[in-house]
Order: sequence, then structure tokens, then C-alpha cells
Amino acid sequence: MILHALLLGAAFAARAKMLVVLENDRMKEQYSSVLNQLNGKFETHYKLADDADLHLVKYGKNIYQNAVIMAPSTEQFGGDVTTKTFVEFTQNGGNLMVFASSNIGDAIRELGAEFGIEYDETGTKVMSHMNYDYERDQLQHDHSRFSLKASDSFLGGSEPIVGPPGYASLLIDNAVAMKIDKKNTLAFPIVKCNSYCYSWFPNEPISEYPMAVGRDISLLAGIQLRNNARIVFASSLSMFSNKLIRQKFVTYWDNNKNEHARYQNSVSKLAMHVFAWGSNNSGTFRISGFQHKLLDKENSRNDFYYINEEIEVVAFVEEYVDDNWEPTSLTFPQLWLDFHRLDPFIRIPFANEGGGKFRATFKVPDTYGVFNFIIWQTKLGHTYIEHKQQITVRPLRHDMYERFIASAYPYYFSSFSMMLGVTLMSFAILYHRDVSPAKKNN
Amino acid sequence: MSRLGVSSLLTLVVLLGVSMLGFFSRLFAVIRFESIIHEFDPWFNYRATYQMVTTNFYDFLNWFDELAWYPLGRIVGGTVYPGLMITAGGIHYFLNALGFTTHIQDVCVFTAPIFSGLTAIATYFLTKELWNAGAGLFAAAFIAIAPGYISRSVAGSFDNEGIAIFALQCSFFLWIRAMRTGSMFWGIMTAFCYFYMVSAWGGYVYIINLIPLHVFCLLLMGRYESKLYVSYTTFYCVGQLMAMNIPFVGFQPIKTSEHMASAGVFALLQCYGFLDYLRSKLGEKEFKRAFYLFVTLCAGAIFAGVVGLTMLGVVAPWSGRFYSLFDTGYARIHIPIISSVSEHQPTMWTSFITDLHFLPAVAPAGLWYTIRNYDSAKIFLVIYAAFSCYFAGIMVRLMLTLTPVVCMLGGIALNVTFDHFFGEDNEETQVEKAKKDAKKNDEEEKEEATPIAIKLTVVMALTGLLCQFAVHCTYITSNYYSSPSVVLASSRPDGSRNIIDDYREAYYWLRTNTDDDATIMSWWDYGYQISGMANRTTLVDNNTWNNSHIAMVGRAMASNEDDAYDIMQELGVDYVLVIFGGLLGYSGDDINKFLWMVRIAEGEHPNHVKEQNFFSAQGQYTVDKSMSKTMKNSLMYKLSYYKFGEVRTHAQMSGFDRVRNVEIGHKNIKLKHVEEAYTTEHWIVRIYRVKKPSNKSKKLTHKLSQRKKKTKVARKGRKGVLSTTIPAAKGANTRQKASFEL
Repeated sequence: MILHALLLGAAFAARAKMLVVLENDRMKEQYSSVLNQLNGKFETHYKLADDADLHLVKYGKNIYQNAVIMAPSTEQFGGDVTTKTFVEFTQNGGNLMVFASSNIGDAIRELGAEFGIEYDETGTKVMSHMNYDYERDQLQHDHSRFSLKASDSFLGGSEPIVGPPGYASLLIDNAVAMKIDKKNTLAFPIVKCNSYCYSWFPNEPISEYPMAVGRDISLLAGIQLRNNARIVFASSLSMFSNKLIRQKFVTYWDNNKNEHARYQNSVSKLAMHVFAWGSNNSGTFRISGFQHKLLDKENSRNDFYYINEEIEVVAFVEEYVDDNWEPTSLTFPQLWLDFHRLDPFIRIPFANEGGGKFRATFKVPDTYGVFNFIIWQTKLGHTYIEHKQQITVRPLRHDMYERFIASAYPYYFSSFSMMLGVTLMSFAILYHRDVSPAKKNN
Repeated sequence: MSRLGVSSLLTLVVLLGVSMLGFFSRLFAVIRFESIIHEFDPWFNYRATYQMVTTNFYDFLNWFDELAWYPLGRIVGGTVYPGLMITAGGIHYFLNALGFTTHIQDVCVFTAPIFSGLTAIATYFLTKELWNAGAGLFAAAFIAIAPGYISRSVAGSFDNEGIAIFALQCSFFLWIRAMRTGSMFWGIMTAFCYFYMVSAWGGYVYIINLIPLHVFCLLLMGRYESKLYVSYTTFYCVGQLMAMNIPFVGFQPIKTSEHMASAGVFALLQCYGFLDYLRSKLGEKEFKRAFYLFVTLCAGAIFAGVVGLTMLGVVAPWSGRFYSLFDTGYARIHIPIISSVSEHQPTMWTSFITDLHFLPAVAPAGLWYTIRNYDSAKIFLVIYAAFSCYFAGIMVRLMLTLTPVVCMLGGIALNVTFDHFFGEDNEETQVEKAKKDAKKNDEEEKEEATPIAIKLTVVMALTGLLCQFAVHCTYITSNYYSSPSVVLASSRPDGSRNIIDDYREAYYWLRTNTDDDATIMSWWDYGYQISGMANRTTLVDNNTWNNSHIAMVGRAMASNEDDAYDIMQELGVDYVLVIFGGLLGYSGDDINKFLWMVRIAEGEHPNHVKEQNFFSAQGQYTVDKSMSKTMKNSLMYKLSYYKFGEVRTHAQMSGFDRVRNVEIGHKNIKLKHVEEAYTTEHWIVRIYRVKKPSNKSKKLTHKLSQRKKKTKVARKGRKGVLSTTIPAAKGANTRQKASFEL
């Protein structure tokens, strides 16, 4: 029995649970190349969007660690799932991936609004007259399947999200325009359109300024909540379908050369990395240990410090790799240490000593008060790290000052000379006797 | 001989009785409530004393209090007058050494009454030194029960003033003794007593200005004698040297204007003494004119020197607190934090009657007698009286310095009167008096013929007055000055008492339900109590040393919730505590103090907080419907009245504030960044938890733009399928399937 429980526990620990919400069962086949990857990594549960038995949270606890919503046209989810449920789910630390499409339904739209993402109207598509898929467009003349050159649409520099560089281009299909609200400080675009894109109803004259054009349109956006739950919003579902993901090349008409040209489609790679990031399997760190002590080896006090003492701070950082917490690799970006009292008095980077050990030494400022050690890093795509520990910095004790200081010697001298003078004067007054007139007479 | 024996025995018995009376009449609070530390400042004093007796003196001296003034902290040893703690700690040590195991709290509670008894004795000696033993006994009896002094020394009021008045009277007695005898011994004793006073209360400045003034007056009157020189010089040198050993005082005696009068008089006395010596040697009558000229020049030079040093910045100018004693409007404009304290308000005339009953009426008579047969010592009493009167008029709390002198003058007046009308057969005293005062001889002969009936009437009237005095003092003490203010009491319609213990309830909640390092933001009045009773970190407390930190808290209270939240995040606040009296009709609450918070905040942040915005259009400070928008949105208003609109405190309406006697203007208060954590039984203390920043990013606030004509067309396809299936599923199915897969 115990063994059974242990095994069960081990199984749970090993694989996180993931809910995949689909519109219909056929999608399992249509998206099998992506879903199979997920199946390998997670314990996946498939549900239909209108399933009456659809639950994300029960009794205040998340049933799944991750949820992938591949049902863009949902007007209303089944079961007890509403927008609020998704909020609760993410507040509890669940990761969410939401796929929209040009046939976006109200439920997805509301979900986006809740997290500060605005979608264009249902029926609109993101279109581009440059680099559109030539073959497909001959059939459906709406330019809504087009290729984006990775170099001018990527948000570069965040390896945890999109992996190492080496993307050629992305094939976008049937995307609904997505805009990140300016007030929304937590969201960031992962893939943006280039300047040729615009969003409108296909094959209709443009009667007013579109909701978003050019680089305002995000196609893939990420949000990392303050509790490090991650949310990915994608504006196109079908670009991840087997058919498109397996399309190795995108053929388009090159205006400059007046001929057909081809780009490689890198969506498969993008999907792999973004799914890993979105499920907190990439760029996930934690502080596993934190110590501070005096540099002075003989003194082991660390419950408070006096001003101007040299101290050493050590932090251990672990990374979540392959379902395990391991000491982070050396490539980890800079970790900062603040010594903070209303303002940071000291802000220094930790030195990476390898094996996940980070070390910083500094001199406590010449100011007493209640300070906080704050270890932090906020690099895009990485878990926010903010570890606080309170420490008191005391002024020197009355007996910790120098006993004799050179500039005070005049005072020492004056006090001792005064004492001597008083003694001599006392003697003089006590034992000196005026020769009185009476004695004179004698 | 035997007569002397009887009279001294009688004096001893009376004095003992008086000091016992002084002690016992201060115990109302203990009997009515319990042995508890009162009010605000005593809580810190108690906490510091506790710290001292549980560690040792040096740890106390170096104690860095991290619970106060978060995140700045407070060096207690260097910012406190340690005399009180050392006194209480000493008594505690002594009792425990004798085997009487007492808790330090009980020692602290009873310290002030014990010292009140001693004050009565010191007053007796001072009055005796200045007048005679009879007047001394009267004065001792008066000071023992005068409410003006009791107000600050009831049991539980463990405050500096409690022991400082004893030190004050004692130093004055020793000073008179020293200048009378001209002995170095008494001069040094005065210095010791002065040192005790310095260690106990910031009011020591009073002594160090009054005694030099006395000397200066004597010099002006040409009453210089070598006795004065010896006594003042010893007192000044030794006293100031010792005073500088108190860390909080430090180099102030040679660096600040408050002490410059004493230094100037010291220098002047040297010049005067030197010239006097020269004159005695030279013995020239012509020298006299040049002599006075020289002395005047010296005085002028010293004065100019002090002013010059002040201008150059070597000597610190008068501190604002000191300055506000001379310009009553100064504090209100420049240091609102000082004038925000109720005990710093100008004294109302009624409080002279409340605190001293008939004594202000008879004291002028005493003063008149003193002036009529003045000598070098009695001039001191006149100066003492004049200055005390002035200061008592400026600040309520300085009634305390007036009380002893009024008691002494009253004692003198009554003594003279009783001698006159009571002592018919007491020939000796009259003879003595006659000797003393040759001028009065004629009058006394006349008065000897005063009919017995008149004597009897006067004596009976005065005795009646004295009885009235005793009744009045007891009444005032028991009804006005014996409330711990930590615990409140109200009487029910049937006359029984209802104890309102909200403060301790709230502090106990904080102590047991919050993190050890939780930070609590409240107005500074409650800082000492929170750290003392709840043992939690506070931002500001009654040691109002950092005006800008207090102004920051005031600004947070006066801002709207969003701005306040930013400030609270910056300051690291976990809980907010407000005092609210609207439910109970408890008028000392934060809404009534709110304007001071605004003023103090405005002093530091004039661009963010404006007092004018908190008044209604009619220019009134109100919480009803006409209140201003700023008031309505302020954090203080929201926290005070949160959910109050739902409570029926009035027959006709809900949300009726029983302090302001209005129905509140905004009832449906929604809180965004804070949540209610605890509210006490009578709603006096309300504690709110500051929420963490939202995990989530902001919701879209604007409506999604819709181009109408297309919307309908677009909404086809799967909509039908999905939305029709769901409503049915939503209700029934979920309930049926209670079990769920893991």
C-alpha cells in the first residue's frame, strides 16, 4: 500500500498534469504533431470546450498545472469555467496557453481582455501583401497566410522563450490581430508583425482605420504574472496544425527579383520552445539557499551587523530542468543584490562561482537602520527572483570607538595638568601661612 | 526644649501623613482599573525600563530599537532621558535584593506616586528655607493633592515629569541653601540634584535658566556677595560637567542658546568677583562709578559674544520647541507637529481653577508678602513665580511647573493669615515676627485688638476653603485624571461601569496574529503603544524626532487609495491601524486628528496635500454629504468608515457618526489595495491588511471597439453549437458529477 502510494507520488512528481481544451475530437489528429510533443512531456487530459465536465479549479486548488486552450471559437466554456476561473487558475500558479483565430469567440476575447490583451473583431484577419503564400492565395485570395521573416518580427534576446537563434521565417495563417494594452506592464510580444501587415475583414474595402496595423499587431504574446505563472496568447491556431507546421517552405512572389522565392518555416521550433516556456519548463529558477555572514572569519555573528562591517552574501540558484531542480548552469544572467532601506544603499551584481553558487561581498554602509537584503533579477523570460531578508544595522557600541585619538591629546594634557595644578594649589593654600603681623611682632 | 521636640515630632508626623496622602490619592486608577501603564509615552518608558532590567545598563545604553521608526530605527540610549528608567530599575533591583519579588511593571506603575510623596517633602524644605516651617507644611499639603501635579503623576503614569518635579523642587531647595550658606558642599549637592533632573526630564532647561536669572537679578540689585560667587560657580561647573555625561544632552550645555544664559552669568560673575576683589583691595570710593560701568560693559560684551557666536553658527540657535514658548504663533506656522499635541495648546483659564482650585486666588497674597519682606533668597521665589505663570499660560503641560510655586505661595499666604488670626495666645511667634519685621510692629499692635469673633470667622472661612480644596482635588483626581486612556470606561444607564478595552484587544490581536516583522502604519500617537503592547514594528511614534517620516505617514493617510498604496509599498507597510470613535462616540479618534495629519503632511509635501481641499464648499471640516471629494477619497476616511454605512447607530438612519453627529456622506466604501483584517468590539481600533501587488496585469479598461455591421455576419459558425449546448450543461451536469478525476 505504502509502496503504491510512493509510486503514485513519484509518478505525479515526475509529470505535470496538462489540460488540453479542444473544439472537437478531430483536432487531436489535426494538431497531432504539437500534441504528441505535449503527450510526451506531460500527463495530458483532453476535454472539449463545451464539455459539461470541464473544470480547472476545484475547492480552490488547481486540478492541472498547465492548461492549453485550443478552442478559439468558444463563446462560453462548459462546466464551471468562466473568465474568473482562468484568473483563479493563474493566481494559483497555473500556466495557461490560449490560442485564438480569426473566428475568435467571446469567451477567448474576454479572457484576453482580463489579462490586458485586445483582439480585433471576429472575422477580421491579419493580412500582408508581401510574402503571402503564393500557392494558397490562388485559391483563397485574401493574403491571410503569409510568411514573416524572423529577423524583423522577433523579440530577440530571450533564449528561455524562443530558444537559440537560427529562425528563418514563420508561416502565419488565419490570425486575428492582437494588441497589448499599453498599461499592461507584464505582457510582452514574442512575435510581432512586420510593417506590411494590417488587420481587416478579408476581401472587403477598408472603410475606417483598422484596429491595428504593422508592428502594433502581436501574433504571439507572453505574460509572466508576479507569481511567476506564465500565460501565452497566440493569435493563430491553425499555424500550429500538422498541415502548416509540416510545410517546410513558404513560397512567395519576390517582387524585386520577379520570381518565386522560398523561406524555411520555423514554426515547429518556435512551438517547441514557446510551449516549454509557457509551461514553466524553461527559464524557471528559484533561490534554494541564502546565507550572509561577516567576512571576518573569527566572528560568526549574523543576526545583526554594525555599520561599516564587511559582509559576504551567498545565494544558491536552481534551475528547473527536465522535471528536476538542478543547480543552475553558468550562463545564468546577472543576479543582483540590493542592500535596501527605503532606497538601495548598495546595488551590486553577484559573482557566479559555478555550481549555482553566487557570491557577493560588500561593506555595510555607514548608516544604521533596518535594512533588507533583496536578491533579484527581472530579465525577460526568466522567473522573477525577489528574495527579501530583513537585517538590522546597528550603530557602534559605546566601547567600540577608538579609545585614544591623536587629536584629543591637548585635552588629555589639559585635564591632567589641571588635576596637577589643583593638587599643587591645594598644597600651597593649605600649608602656606602668611606671616601675620602678630608673628612679626614676636 | 520639649516644645521644640513636640513641634518637630508634629512636623514629622504631618509630613509623613502628607506624603502618604499624596501617594494614596494617586491610586484611583489602580483601584478602578488595574495596575497598568497609562497613556502613550509611559508605554515607551516602561518598555525601555523592561529592556534595561532584563539586560544590563550598557546594553540599554547601546539599545538600538528596530521596532521603532521603521526602517530608520532609533538609538534609544542616545535619545532618551534615562533617569526615569534608572530610578525604576533601581527600585526594582533594591526590592528584589531585599527579597520582595516584584515585577518591573508594578514598580513602574507606582514610581510616580512614590515620587509625589517625596515632592511634598522637598516642597516643605524649600518653603521652609524661603519662609518658615508652617508655610512649608501648608505647601507640602497642597502639592500632595493639587490636581495640576496629580494629572501627570497618577499611578501608571510612568513619565519623566513624575520624578522631575521632585528633582526640580529639590534642586531649588539645595540652591537656596547653597546661596544662603555660600558653601561649596551645598553647591555641589545642588549640582548633583540638577544632574538627576537632567537625566530625568528635558525641562531641566528651566533650572539652568532660572538659577542664573536669580543670580543676575541679585547682581543688578547690588546684592553680590562672595557666598553667591562660591555657590553659583560650584553649581555651574560641576552641574554642567555632569549634565554633559547624559548622552542625549551631550555638548548642548556649551553649544546651544538655551544654556547660554547660564554661561553668560557665569562669566559675568567672574568679572564682578574680580572687580569686587580689586575694589576691596583698592578701597577707593571713586572707583565705584567706573566699576559699574565696567560691569555693564562686561555684560554687554558677553551678550554680544553669545549673539555673535550664535550668528557664526558655533552656538546652536534656540530650538523650535523653545522658541515656541516665546512666540505662541510660531509653532502653529512652522512646526505643526508641536502644536498638534493637545498638551501643547495654550491653557484655558478654566484649567487654572480645575488644577489649582483656590490657590491662584491666594497665591498673589503670598507673592505680596514675599516681595514685602524680600531678601536674596526670596527674590528667587518671585522669579520662579513670574516665569511659571508665563509658561503655564502658554502650554497646558507647563501647568506642571506652576503648580509647585503656587502651592508654595498659597502656603505662605495661609501661613501668614493663620498666624495673624489664629495665633493670639502664641506670643512667641508674634514676637519673632516682630523682630523679623520691625516695620510691621505698629500694625500688629493694632491687630492684637482684633475681636475674637472676626478671628473666628476668618479662620472658619479659611478652614472651610481648605476642606473645599481637599474635596475638589479628590473629585478632579478621581474623575478626570485617573483614566488610563488605554482602557476606557463608560457608565451604563443603571450606573454600573462598562469597561471598553478595545485598544488592548487590538494590540493583542496584532501580537498574536501577525508576522513577527510585520510593520504597522498608524498615526504617531499610537506608536509607543503598538511597540509596547503589540510588540510590532511601527513607522512613527511619540518620539517625534523625524518630521518628514511623520509627514510621509500623514500624506499616505491623506492621499487617495492608489497614491497611498504607492507610499505604503515604498515604506514597507503590512498593516494600517486607525482609531475610530464614530460608533461609540469616542472623540479622540483619527478623523478628529486628521486635519493635523494633513497640515503636517502639507508642511513637507505642499504640492501633494492641501489643507483647503479637505474642507467642504462651505469651508467646514465635515464628513457628511457636503464633504469635499479629496476628503471622501482619502485613505483615512475610507478606513474609518469602511462598512460603517451598514451599521444603524441612530433611530432613523444608518451610518450615523456619533462623534461628529452627522450621517456620513459616503456609505458604500470599496477598498482596493487594503482589506479589513480586524475591527474591535466597539470599532475603536480598525486594522487593515495591505494587499500584495496584484499578480495579474491590468484588465482592459476601455470597451472593445466594434464596427457594428460586420459583427453579426462574423458571429456564425460554431457559435450555435457551442453556446446552445452549454447552458444545459452548466446547471445540471456539474452538480450531478460531484466526483472528479484526479
